[in-house]
Amino acid sequence: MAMLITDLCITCDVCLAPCPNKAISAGEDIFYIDPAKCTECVGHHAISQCVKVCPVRAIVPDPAHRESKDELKAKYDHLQALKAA
Amino acid sequence: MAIREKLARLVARMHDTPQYNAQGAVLFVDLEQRTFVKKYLPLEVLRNFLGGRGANMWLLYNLVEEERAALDPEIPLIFGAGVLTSSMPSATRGNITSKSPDSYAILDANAGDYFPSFLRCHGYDHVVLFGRSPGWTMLRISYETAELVDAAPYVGLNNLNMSAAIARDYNCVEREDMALARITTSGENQVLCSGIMGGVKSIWARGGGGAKMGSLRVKAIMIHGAPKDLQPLQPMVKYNKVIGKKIISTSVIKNALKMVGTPFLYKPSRVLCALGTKNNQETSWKPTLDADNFDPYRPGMDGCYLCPVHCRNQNDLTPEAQVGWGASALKGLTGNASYDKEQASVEHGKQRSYNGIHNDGQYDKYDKGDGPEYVTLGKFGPMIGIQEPEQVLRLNNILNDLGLDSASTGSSIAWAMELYQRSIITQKETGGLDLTWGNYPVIEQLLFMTAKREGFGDTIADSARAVERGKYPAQALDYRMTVKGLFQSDPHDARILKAFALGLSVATRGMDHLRNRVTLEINARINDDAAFKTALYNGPVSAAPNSYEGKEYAVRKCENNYAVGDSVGMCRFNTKLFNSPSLPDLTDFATQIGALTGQTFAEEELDEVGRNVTGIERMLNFRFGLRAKDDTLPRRWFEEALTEGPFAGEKVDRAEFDGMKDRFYHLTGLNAEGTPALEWHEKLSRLISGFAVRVELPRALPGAPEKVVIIDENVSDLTALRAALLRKLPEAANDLNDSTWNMAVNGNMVLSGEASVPIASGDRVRLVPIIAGG
Repeated sequence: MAMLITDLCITCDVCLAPCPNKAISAGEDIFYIDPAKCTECVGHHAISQCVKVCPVRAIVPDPAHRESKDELKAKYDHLQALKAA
Repeated sequence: MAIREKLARLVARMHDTPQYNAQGAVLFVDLEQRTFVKKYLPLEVLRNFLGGRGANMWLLYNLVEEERAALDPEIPLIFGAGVLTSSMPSATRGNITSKSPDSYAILDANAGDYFPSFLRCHGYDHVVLFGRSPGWTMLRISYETAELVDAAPYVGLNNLNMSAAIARDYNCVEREDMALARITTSGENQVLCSGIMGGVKSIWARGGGGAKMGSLRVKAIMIHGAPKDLQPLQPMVKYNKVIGKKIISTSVIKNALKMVGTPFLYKPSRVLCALGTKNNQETSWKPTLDADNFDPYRPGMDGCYLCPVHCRNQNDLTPEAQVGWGASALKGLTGNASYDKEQASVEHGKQRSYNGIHNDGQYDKYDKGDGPEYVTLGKFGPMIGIQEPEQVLRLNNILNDLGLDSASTGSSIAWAMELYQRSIITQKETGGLDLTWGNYPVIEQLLFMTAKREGFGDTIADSARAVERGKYPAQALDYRMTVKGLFQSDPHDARILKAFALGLSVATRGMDHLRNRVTLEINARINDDAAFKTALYNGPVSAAPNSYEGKEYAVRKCENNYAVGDSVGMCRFNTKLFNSPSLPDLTDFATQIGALTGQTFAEEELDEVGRNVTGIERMLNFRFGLRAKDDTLPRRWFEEALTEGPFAGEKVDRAEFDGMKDRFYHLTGLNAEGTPALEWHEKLSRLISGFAVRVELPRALPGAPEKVVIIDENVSDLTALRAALLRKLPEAANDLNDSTWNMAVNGNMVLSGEASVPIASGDRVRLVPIIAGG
């Protein structure tokens, strides 16, 4: 599944740089993860980088976007192909 | 009493299970006998000293034998994480504590990155190392598992290669499922200005921790495994958001630290003409090192575990670098140039010009790294006459890899350069090295020689102790910029700011701004609001930066706040009073300590804990031989006035300084020797060692101005008490050995058989001169 930023977010922005998929952006009140771009760091890292750095533990698995490891890997491959194109 | 006996007594006072929620264990590691003991501290340690630095001091006090040299293996090295480390935004820190081989005081250094948090998350608050390992070893901790593994394959590795080797051999990634506290070749070679590395740049820097760890033959402590929370953090979550918001909405955090890191501080000191230059012979240096000159080499920022700030500026000098993070971020910030506001709009338009250190298009691993901090910028810029940002960056990266404390190493080199300038040493002593100010190739070479203790590097490696180790003549001490034997940490020359100066003189680990720096002493908005400033520091503090009036209040309050911050694991930059009055304070800490541990604290109670922590540190320093005379400043600051800038002519007046220091002692509750006064001393002794006996003297003796001494060593009889008294007051040995002074215990005169007179905590002993009659 993709990750979700909850309303605990303090908009400190430290999750922006480590996201390998550039899936995170500033929303109106809090930051936002684009589920189409989030692979939970599958393909890049063993653990989700945004979860690792969030100082208030505001980032959780998104219940609305449940995906298996295989699906996340497929998403990663797709994103890489887009990047290369 | 040897450390194993002390340890046996100590663990008998400790517990097998946690005494409050989320308490971590203390792991005692006997490196020589390769045994482990795991125990939990009593609740009263939390109530009176918290964790981290405070509890480290409690452990050290109970285990140290003051007469042993710092590098003796029976002097322990203690790692500690704060009570809130890993549980609150920016609470990422932990301390190492021992007796310092570099200075004459306690060794106490603080660092963040990921190690302290990983330690806590694996269930440990403290690790106590003692004894010398038969061969080089690494302590590997993984939750319930603790083992000593052979570190011989890692000997000779510096910081970057060491981390890579562990990641390779254990198939792990630093900061994901591994954290590592390690020494480099400089620690192996017991370089006195070497630290313990906790990451690419993170270092327990001050006091010679690298040498201490090297003397025990411990190459590293590895925390192995991804971190788990000690307990569900739900009770802390909502208020963590409040704290996080408080931090990132503070202007200095938002506009400076998050954008360029601590080098933003260079310009205010430069504009004030208070920048330690050429070993503090001068106080003004080039604008070429203003923070914006690093814009062309700054690819981004990094940070510690769960910190919302990420103040660690990275650097990349290579042509392929993607740089420019934080470019022009400081432009227009008038608070960053308060003594010359036009400077706020000055930018240098610096363009990338680096083509390899030899200008030949060749690059190596030292052309990329983390940092510098303002301290490194100051010590490897103006202090040694370097003016090019590229050279500072490269030296910074080398220092990080060699595990050298940039403050002590830079000061040690600056001291040598002044001695060379004055012909007190020549190329005969330097082995042919030309120590002219700013001689970059020699300085780079000297760093590697220092780590190896090779040639003149052996002298730099002896840091502030070069005279007593026979490297320099005694005359050199006139130019040594130290307090309590520790070189100054901060590049700021404090002849103008008198609270800053007082802080450096009374700081318990030596000449270091991180114990009590009154940064806001120069904040115009605060100085214009007397009522606000009085409330901020619990007393009236003069608005004039160079006045001595009321500065004791500011230093006292800062010492309390910062000691508590260290003991909960909070980063200094994000603690109220260091950078801003609006950052998280003692009330915030109390809220989260309560949520995590279930232990309630009022703000005033935490303030008192801060005083207690500095109190126990002063008691330790007293045991190490330091007295009130050691709370002083380098000779230069009393005798030589500034020659330029808005405060030209300023120096520190000895009489005014002494008055300010006396007021600080009185406010803190110290006696005339700078150690806790009687009632407080007795209370602290009971809390620390569980033992306190008052010994009344016939008159004030050297080291005992109150005519009373507290013996807090657990002695069993009167003979042992006499010995403890001599250890406590060696300067009064002549009087104490006077055979005409008898002893009375609880009012009963003892005329013979002292060894058979039992002594218990709470007893009152009097030394009574025999009156000859006839």
